[in-house]
Amino acid sequence: MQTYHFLRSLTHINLTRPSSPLHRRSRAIRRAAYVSMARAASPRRMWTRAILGRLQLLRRARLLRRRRNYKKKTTISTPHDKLRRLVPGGEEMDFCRLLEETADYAEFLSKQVRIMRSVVDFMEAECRKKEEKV
Amino acid sequence: MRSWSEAKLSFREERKMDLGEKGKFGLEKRTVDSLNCNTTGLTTTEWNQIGSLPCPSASMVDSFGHVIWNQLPSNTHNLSFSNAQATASSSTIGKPVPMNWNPSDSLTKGGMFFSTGMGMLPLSLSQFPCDAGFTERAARFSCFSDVAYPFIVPGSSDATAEAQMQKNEADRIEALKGRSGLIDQSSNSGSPMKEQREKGPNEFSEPEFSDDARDESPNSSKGVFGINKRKRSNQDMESDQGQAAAQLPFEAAKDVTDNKQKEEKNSSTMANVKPLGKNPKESGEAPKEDYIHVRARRGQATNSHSLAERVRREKISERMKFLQDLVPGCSKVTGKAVMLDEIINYVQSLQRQVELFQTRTGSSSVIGFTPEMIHQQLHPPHQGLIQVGMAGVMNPSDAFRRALNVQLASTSGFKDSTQQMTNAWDEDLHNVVQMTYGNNPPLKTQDLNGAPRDGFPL
Repeated sequence: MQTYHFLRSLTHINLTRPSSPLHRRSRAIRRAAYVSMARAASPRRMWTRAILGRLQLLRRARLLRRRRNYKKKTTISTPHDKLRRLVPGGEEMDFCRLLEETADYAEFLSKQVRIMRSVVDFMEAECRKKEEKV
Repeated sequence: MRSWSEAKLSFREERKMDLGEKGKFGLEKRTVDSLNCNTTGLTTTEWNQIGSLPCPSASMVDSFGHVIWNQLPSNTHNLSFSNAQATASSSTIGKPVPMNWNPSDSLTKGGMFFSTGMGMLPLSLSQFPCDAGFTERAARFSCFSDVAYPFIVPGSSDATAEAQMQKNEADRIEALKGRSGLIDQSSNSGSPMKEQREKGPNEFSEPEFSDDARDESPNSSKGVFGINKRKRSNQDMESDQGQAAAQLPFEAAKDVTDNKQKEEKNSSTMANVKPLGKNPKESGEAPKEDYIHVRARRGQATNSHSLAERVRREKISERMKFLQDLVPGCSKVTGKAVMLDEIINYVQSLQRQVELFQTRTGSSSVIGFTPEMIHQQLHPPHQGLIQVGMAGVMNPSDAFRRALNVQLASTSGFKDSTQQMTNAWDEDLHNVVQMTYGNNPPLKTQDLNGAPRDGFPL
């Protein structure tokens, strides 16, 4: 399911403005990767909601031609700060919940990495093939 | 007059019969409790207390009444007394448990009863299912079983309960005093938990079981757990497991009488099993319930705060173990801090990999991605294509797809039918694409077709 979402968004990216600069495309791809992850995961998870919320925030910002920085909550300093920052939506969870979310997030992240690796390998192989033909 | 063994058997049968009725359990526990009470010599007073149970929940009453009457068909002096009580409160739970067996026999038999239960306790505890709604039921039942409620008595009412208890059950109090040390601690710790647990009709402080309540409240979650186990071990544990959660509160009450004998055993045996049984329950009930039933382990602080802390720690350790399995190469790592660092590193590396791949994808996808073909493929009708056979193995696109499929096998969630469908598409699309687009399309179509595929049957 995750693959499906990701590939769809990937083709969409390539469909619209294939001539855009690389960094923008990369960012769009990254966004697509996380969104596909969030879509494939259960919406009950905090991190999926955080990712999708961030996406909407971005959309709204772009719509209003305004750049809104993602607010960072750095008030609480705990030994698990680093993990909280890594996992989306992990700022406001207690440690127990944070571990749960981390496990779920790591699972989907590893899936995403595998998807992207295979996509990249495939596409690069195709590129090479095409170059060889040419 | 039925013998003790007969009574026990019938008691068991009753339990088995009324599997779905939690209230029953509470009643049964009470019967055992009353049995013990009898042994101590406190009969009439006990019966009085037992009989006078104003239970607000009508549903429970029915179950209880059913249970009680089933259990004790024969009449003894106790029975007559309890019957009177029961008839007085016919609409409610007429629980007076008329004990048919002789007090002396009951004492010995009771010991045997419980000892056997104890042996089986660990088993039952481990099998204890996490009943998501059991705390709710427990709360309901607590109100229902005045007798069985120990949990329900709030910490503030402990004093009053105590007073009541003393005047009501002199004998029992003495017996309980032996455990007073434990009880006091538990009551203190239990009261906060009890307060949590009480939802609604918790304020009733049952005089007769106030002592039990005190004792139970702290151990309510765990104690009940253990008590339930003991009782159930003798009976069908499997059948009762579903109700075990509900019975926990009642168990606690029952535990009071048993506690004298089993307290030490319970704590030691149950400590081991309880966390196991409790954890899944906690995790399952966490989103629904606020309170968690925790029992103080032997030799550990029974403060309410420490109990909650222990529960939390157990949860955390459980999650850490799960993460340990998830993160590759972390089986040897021990300790929370090191494990945490490993997890952080793992998540960071994953995120970095995603960023790496995104740039590579961006650069390589520039070459050729015709969205139209892709979208066509992505929204294909499932019917028809499935009939088409697998793509030829010799086809290079198939080879690529195969490689892609293998990699995506674990990630995709589509079924085999989709695979066949995508295979079929590949063939058709490949031909079509080559006619129209040349080299570019094969790349995209294969890529897209690979998305919904789960594994490659070839």
